[in-house]
Amino acid sequence: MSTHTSPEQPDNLPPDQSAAWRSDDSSDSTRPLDTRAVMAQANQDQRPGATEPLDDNTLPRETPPPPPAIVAAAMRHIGQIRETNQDSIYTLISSIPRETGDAILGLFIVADGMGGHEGGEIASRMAVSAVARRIIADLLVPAVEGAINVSLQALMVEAVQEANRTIWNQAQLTGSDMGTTCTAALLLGHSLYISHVGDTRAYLIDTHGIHQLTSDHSAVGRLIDMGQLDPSEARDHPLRSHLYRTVGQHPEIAVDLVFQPIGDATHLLLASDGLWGCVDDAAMLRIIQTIDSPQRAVRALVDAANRAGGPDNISAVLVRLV
Amino acid sequence: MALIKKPGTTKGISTNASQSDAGADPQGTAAPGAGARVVAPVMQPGVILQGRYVIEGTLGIGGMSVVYRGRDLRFKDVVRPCAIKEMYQSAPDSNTRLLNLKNFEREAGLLATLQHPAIPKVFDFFEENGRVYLILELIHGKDLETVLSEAGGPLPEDRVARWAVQLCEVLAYLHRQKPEPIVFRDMKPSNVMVTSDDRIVLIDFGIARSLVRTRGTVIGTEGYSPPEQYKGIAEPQSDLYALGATLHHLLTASDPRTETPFTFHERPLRQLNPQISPEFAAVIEKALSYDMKNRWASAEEMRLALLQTPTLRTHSSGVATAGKVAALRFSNVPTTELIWRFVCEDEVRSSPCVSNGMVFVGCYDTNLYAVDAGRGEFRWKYATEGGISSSPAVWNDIVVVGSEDGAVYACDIRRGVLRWTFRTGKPVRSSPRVLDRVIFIGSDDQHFYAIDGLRGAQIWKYRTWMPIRSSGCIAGESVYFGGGDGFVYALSIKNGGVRWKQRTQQAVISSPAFAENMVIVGSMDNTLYALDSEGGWPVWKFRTNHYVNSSPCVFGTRVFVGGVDGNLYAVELKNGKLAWKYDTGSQITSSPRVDQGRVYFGAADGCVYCLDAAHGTLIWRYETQGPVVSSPAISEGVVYIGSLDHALYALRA
Repeated sequence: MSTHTSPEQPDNLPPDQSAAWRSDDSSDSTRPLDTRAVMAQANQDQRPGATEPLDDNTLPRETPPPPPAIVAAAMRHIGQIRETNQDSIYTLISSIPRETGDAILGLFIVADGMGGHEGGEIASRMAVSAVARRIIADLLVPAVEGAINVSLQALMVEAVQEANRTIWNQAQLTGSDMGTTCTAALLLGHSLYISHVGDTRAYLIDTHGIHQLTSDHSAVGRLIDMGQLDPSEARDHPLRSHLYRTVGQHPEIAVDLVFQPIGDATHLLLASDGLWGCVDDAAMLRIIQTIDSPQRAVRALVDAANRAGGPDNISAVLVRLV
Repeated sequence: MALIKKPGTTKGISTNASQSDAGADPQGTAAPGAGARVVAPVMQPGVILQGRYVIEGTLGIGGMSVVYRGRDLRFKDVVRPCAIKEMYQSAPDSNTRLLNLKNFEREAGLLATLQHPAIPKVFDFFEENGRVYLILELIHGKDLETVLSEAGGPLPEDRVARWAVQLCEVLAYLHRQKPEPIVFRDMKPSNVMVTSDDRIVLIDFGIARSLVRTRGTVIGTEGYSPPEQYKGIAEPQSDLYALGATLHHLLTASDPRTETPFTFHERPLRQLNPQISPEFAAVIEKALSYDMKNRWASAEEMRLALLQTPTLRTHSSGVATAGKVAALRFSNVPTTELIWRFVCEDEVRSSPCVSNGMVFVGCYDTNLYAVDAGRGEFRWKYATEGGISSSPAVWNDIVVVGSEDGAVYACDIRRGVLRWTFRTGKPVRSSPRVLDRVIFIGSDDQHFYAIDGLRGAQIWKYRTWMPIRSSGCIAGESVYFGGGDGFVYALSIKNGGVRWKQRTQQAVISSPAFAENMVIVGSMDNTLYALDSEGGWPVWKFRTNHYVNSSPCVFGTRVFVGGVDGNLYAVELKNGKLAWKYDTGSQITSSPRVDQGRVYFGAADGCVYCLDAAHGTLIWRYETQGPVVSSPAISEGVVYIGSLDHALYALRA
């Protein structure tokens, strides 16, 4: 897994002297670069950024890997009991330019709202829009321009914190108790950055099975993490849905961040508790592995939850990664 | 339970309930989690019960009861106030109603049998118009949640400590009831009143009950409740955990209801509030043990421990303790054994390389030296035409190094005979990296080169915009390095084709490390970057207060790097969060190395440091006569490192 390279000492000058060598190369010491000087030098020497093989026989250009075949399907359903659908979902798949072989950027969000008088619907929609807006503005647009300079982990956490503040402020104005879960997964190249608050889950599916990437922010979920409660006995625990952390019900919140290389995973699944509370992991895995089309698989997941009674709103985003 | 998701209402969070609990339930009527959303029937002032108790106002509304401020009219000449607790039923089904009534009757019966200054007295219990009433002593004061929110921050230790002792006393009283101890089960700030003379009174015995060793279902209040109460178990030690949680909240103002449950050990008291005495913190943290049997055995034992803390001991010895700690830190820093010292004719900026029982190092006196690793005896030297600040690398039977004269030299390791030279246009301060027979190195001529190690011939070169001082890091099919132009480059090792380049804000002279598909590198923009090796996107950034010219070293789950701001940082690889830092007080450009759980590096104060990698505590430091910018090499229990005092040192690790 981890290759430990032993770094060498690169800087053999104290930094004050290091600053001095930069001014030695006076023509290039200012930024932005003096393009005329650079071009003049480039003409005289050779084109910057070019690689010059010593051998005369030309080396073939590197063939980039084929673009990944990513497909996402998303669905939300009111269920059999509730009168409103308080879940909100969002998906986005984009390519972004890179020196060799453009990369894929995917953004997938599920928010499960709570609170009376339509508060849950409002909160979950506000969460999704605030997170999507921040990531599109600070990551997608700069990426298309070829200049990502944000820290992805920080961006994902801050986007949810910003959603939290937006909802909290709105709730203070209207005297609402609204709040929401929010699980946002960013796929960039072959890595996932998931920011997470509440009990909407992210799962990664590979040939070995289904793996839950997030921890539910309920005391029951925490006891499961600590090995004090069995997941099967937790399913019926009276406090299963009692969250200690949500988006929008506190002025400041902590946001979990999961950084996960996708490796040889085949699918990413985001599921609200209306789905995972009704359909166990093995059943979800079976559906995902046997139905090839993400659109039909996501439909089958929702159907399974409804057949189990559909006591809550059901939301799922299924991303096929290969 | 109203906390559970119901269609169209709440999902189940009740962070707001904490606020409504605070003010609205001073006499503690609410069963935990009872939603206050159901409108309770409230009697108007002036109503008289039993021809004796007159309602004067409402104190609070809970889940199953309303508490009024009232007066006992039977005392004609004096005003005798009381609290009137009225039970009401909102549950639709008759079983629940019966259970609620039984609970209420039990609370009344329980309180009637108890006599303690910190427990409200019961005056009367009756039924009227189909409703049940409890007449209680009226407590004048505020509950601790209100006290805490009014303070707007942590409460002082001495005040909290005095309450803690009183709370232990009342819990000890409850726990020694016969035939079975009474477990309060819902200790939290909002259930503790404090009177004007700083006396505390427990309120809300709604779920307190004699210890019956069968599983119940009542949980208490999330955040304060111990883990076993989630399994329906409540023992006297459960109250101690909740007391610990309550005290933790008061001393830190960090609300456990909004934190991950059962994480008090991850949020040590003194980390959140350094003013708390270590002794007091230790008493509370023991009460917060996850496992019941690791807590205090009884409330009485905890009380005695509290009385031994400096705040409550009559004679304070806190000053003496502080003095002792300070003395420990500054006197008698351990050093290590000098095995040998090899003196050259100029500064040793280059980092040594140990191979085949020999140490190779470059020197500003233009020589590449080979020294016997065991005894520090001179073996050979090769003179270049410029000073050497590049660090040598060994491949098969040759040692390769760059020189200020612009060339890369390869010498036979046994006798120092020149095998080949490779000329670049400017000084070579980058250090060679070898993979198979290919040597990768940067030059001040702005190129990064791949050189055939057998013949010294160029395989490819890649041009950047500024001198390259950073050295390469080879992982997979790519070589990664930083440029003076501020970019971090990823090139194909096969043909030098650029895979990606990622800009930082300033020059990069730190050399990257590779771990977990991330390229970790420092920049003169004061930041340590972790870049996704696939596309160069910053996974995380860690900001320091000055340049990061030291090269990161990954060991286990952490990245170690020195800062020009004087700190040696240990940062979590996963998320870029600081694990610890050690302040040397002088610039660090030397790159740390980790071996056997110890971190070694040099600093501009002339010292070589050895720290414990887990905690960042100093194990030893060795003082040389000049700044140490060289990076250590560790082999078989010996640390080799150069100093600007012209010497190469071998120190006992």
